Amino acid sequence: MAEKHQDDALLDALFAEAAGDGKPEVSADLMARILADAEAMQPTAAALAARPARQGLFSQFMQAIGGWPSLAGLATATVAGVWIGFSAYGTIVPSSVADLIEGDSQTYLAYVDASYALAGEE
Amino acid sequence: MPYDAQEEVPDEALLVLYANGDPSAARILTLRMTPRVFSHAYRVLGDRAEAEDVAQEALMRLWKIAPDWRSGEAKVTTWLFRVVANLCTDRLRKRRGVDLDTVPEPEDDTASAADMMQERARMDALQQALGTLSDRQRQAVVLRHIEGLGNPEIAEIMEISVEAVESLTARGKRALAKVLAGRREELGYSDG
Repeated sequence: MAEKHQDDALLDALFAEAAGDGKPEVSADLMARILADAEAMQPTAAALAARPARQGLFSQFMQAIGGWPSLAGLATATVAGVWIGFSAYGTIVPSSVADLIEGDSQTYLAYVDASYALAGEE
Repeated sequence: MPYDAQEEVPDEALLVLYANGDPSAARILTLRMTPRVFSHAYRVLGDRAEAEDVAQEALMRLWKIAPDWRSGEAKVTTWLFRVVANLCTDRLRKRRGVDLDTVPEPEDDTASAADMMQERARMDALQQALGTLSDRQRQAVVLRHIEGLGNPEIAEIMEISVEAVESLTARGKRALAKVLAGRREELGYSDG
């Protein structure tokens, strides 16, 4: 058991030394070679400028609908739709349809479907 | 970039700066990564010239991938160690095809001071002992005990499970202890 501890201590000491002072030294020549590679491979300002910018999802969407003017039209239409929905409820929408939506009275689909009346006229 | 701020910049941020053409990022990354990459390759291959080639090739791949680096997917060092591990494995396989003696002779420079000789002797002994392990055991032991990486990161580098890493390092360490057991006094560890 004591021997195992000694073996472990020896190994731990060797590992610590290998990670510290015993680390193999990098030659200046290797360092210079690697730095030269890094500089040669590095994208230059000209290459970066020529690289097309990556498009985000939002800009792709904007491009698809035709830019900011279209977005303004879309917004106007949306607001108008919401306004009509609130203000015209009960006046434009036929009462039978309103009843159907509210559901507080018994309504039959036949009230809504006027085709039976037309069938009778024929 | 101010010199005193260099230590605090994370590897990944440096890589982004490098890809954006920052010349100081190229220098700092080279100074930071080369010793780690070279030291690992040297411990695994046991040969300076081959380790230098592997280090240069691994970093060349880093420079190449820099503009397309996907942030957050892997640590730069994990990615780099994986490249080094694969390059070393390729070299070890080729070497076996040519020469069955996979343990290179340690370098034999005559050092003047006695303690330098002792240190050199200890590092040579460790290198020889590492040479007796299987390639996978050697990679795992060096990453765990010399590079000081955690088992999950080693598992990612070697593309194996954490359990497999634990098994490789445990068996590797036992085998090393066995090889070095008789050399305690000779290596200056008679007290311990």
